[in-house]
Amino acid sequence: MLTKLEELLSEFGETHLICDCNLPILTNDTVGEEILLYNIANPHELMAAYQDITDCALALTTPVKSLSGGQKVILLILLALYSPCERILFYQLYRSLDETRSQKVKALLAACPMQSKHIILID
Amino acid sequence: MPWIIKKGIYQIWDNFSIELLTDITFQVNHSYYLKGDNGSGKTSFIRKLLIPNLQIEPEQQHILYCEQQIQSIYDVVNAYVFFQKQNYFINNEKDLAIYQSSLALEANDLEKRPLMCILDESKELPEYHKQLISDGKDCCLVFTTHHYPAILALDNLHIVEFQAIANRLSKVMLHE
Repeated sequence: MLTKLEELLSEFGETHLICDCNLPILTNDTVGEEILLYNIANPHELMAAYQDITDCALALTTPVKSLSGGQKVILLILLALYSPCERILFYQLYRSLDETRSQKVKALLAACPMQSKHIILID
Repeated sequence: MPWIIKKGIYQIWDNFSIELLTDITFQVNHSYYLKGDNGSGKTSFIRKLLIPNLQIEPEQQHILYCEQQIQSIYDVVNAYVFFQKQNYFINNEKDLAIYQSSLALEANDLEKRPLMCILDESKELPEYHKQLISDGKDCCLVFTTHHYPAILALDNLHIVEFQAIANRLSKVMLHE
């Protein structure tokens, strides 16, 4: 029996960047290493957006283990949105976010169609 | 027996401290909701203060800890289950909740001690409650969540509120 995530990978894996918000971070060292995975053109813009949402500064040298669970999810969201990917699927995006952060992320996602990003949200 | 973390300022990371404005006392048959925004120090409190405090006298209690973003360790748990020759497989959080609860109950059958059940953003909070708490076992439940209005219906519920004052400091208070 496939898990929900395996089902999503099977259906959307060829066409979308799948972002599982239950496992937001893949590397184990610094934010800079995580950014490398996503081919981000302008990491400083991403870090400014992160600070705007979380009120916390972020640097390439910030250890990922120092981020809270919700901050890791926000970082994942921004990595996906600032990557070249045009089609993105978020799985359980709001689960780890408080109300304030959820509203800020919703506003961010609402702007995506203007940037030719197609977003699917799956709970 | 109550577990007490004394009020004071605790350095958690190089650039982050938590200030407990009151003693935080955890009692058996009570539940504690660690409430606060993302980044306010709830998980850091669990990992750097609460669990180390419990480990000072490990023979005083059993500990069940479900950390956040637990999916990353399903394979590890399944490997453990395999080597224990148990006929069970963890596919999701509910499977894990049932398995962890069964281990806690087994441990208690072998040696009666109060159970400290710590759940960090587990969506299976009701399952743990059903397995471990609802029929009067000696358990102290400590949990974080952003999405369970139903928690307000728990008996003997206390709120431990975390408030980020600045990037480097959070203040914590127990509401009796």
